[in-house]
Amino acid sequence: MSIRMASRELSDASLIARCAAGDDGALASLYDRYGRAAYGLALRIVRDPALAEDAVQEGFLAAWRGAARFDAARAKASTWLLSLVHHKAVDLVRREEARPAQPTADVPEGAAGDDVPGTVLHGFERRRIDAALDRLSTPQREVLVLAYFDGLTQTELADRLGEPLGTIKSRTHTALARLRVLLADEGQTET
Amino acid sequence: MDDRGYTHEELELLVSAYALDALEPDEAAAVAEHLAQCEGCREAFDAALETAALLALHADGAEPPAELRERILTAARATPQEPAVAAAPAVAPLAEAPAPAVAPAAAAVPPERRRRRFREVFTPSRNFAAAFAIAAGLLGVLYLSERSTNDQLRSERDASALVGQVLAAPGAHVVALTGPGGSTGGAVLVSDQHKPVVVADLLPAPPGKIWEVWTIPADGKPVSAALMRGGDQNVVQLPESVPDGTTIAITPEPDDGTQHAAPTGPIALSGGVSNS
Repeated sequence: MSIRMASRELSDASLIARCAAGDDGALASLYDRYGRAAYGLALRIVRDPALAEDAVQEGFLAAWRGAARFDAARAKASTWLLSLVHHKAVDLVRREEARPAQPTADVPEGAAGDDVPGTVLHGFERRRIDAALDRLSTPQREVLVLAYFDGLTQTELADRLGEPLGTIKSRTHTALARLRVLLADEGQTET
Repeated sequence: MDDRGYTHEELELLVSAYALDALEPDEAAAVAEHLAQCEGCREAFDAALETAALLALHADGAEPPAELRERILTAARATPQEPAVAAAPAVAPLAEAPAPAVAPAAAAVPPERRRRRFREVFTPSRNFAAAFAIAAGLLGVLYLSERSTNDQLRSERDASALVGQVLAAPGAHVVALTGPGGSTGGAVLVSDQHKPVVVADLLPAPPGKIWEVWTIPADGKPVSAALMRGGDQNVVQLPESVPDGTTIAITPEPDDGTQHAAPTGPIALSGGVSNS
């Protein structure tokens, strides 16, 4: 009888439900699935391996604590997890007083992200996102990258780019909406 | 214009930046409050968050230090979860259930402010998913698989709303459905006001088969109550309330588009209903 029980076969949503019930094995499975992506994201934002670990740990613990509130009809589990890690990483970066002047610099030398290519699993997805980002205008791409990967708020972006806050807000909105459409189009032509 | 003096148009424009964690704290709080009340913006936020998460994949994955995994698990074991539940199997009535809302929205606000805001924006509908997660978590049941298409999403949302309504109703409780080995594989959600809802953690039925749900009175023969495909379609409401002592059973039956007179397949899941 095909009743799903082994955690390796469980869906992400089901693993989160098990986290809500206190099953730390389910958290381990989620980490095995998304720990690498989460760490890569955190490292790109905080640019410090130790801080990146903190962000991943805090993000996963936030998921563990709040698992009962996860709503699978609203978001994919991976979206939810990565958004928690992103939030923690941005939080950490904002607490760091001195930010590098060139925020789009690569991760520090010797950090794991330097020489680890995208996994095969993520390779396709990454190329798809690269292509969609390339089709944004340069100012659109700039606000998304500075906001998402460098943790700049809209106000900081306006200062950084020397443009009115209202312009930045509209541009960020348009840029993300356009990226979404481009990714959707891409998906349709792929299938 | 909301309490903080933002117009809907202003808030709508900030939803993307909110999904990118790119707002100042006061703006983030205003958007979070707004999302709790505006379904349209809420959907825009869900979409924006999804796109933002794809950006996350643009950052190359990187191998975390091996010890990080154990560090997280050790910390988790020492970390109490945000409460969800009254004693099993009863589910807390809607009005008493704690902290509704979805973490990403909540996460943008400092904890103290967050708690206050939850009370301010509390609405019953926001608790459905939490109530479901409670039941699912208790039982270890798969309820919703990851969404893949809009149609599926809509039906999942309907199912989610249905489950939430039953769990939120007076007298709501959960009866476990177990497999032949005794493992929990589903649940019947019963309340005073709704017909029972069966949630089953079943894979899609084998080729040519469909899962058939039977109600079996204490002293009677099985009556077909519903069909379900399993996999993504794993929630079904029964057509009638069932008296105490009724057994609910699920068997694989020929998928010929009809309900059958009597079960022929082996029991995949079963459990006895009590209404109190």
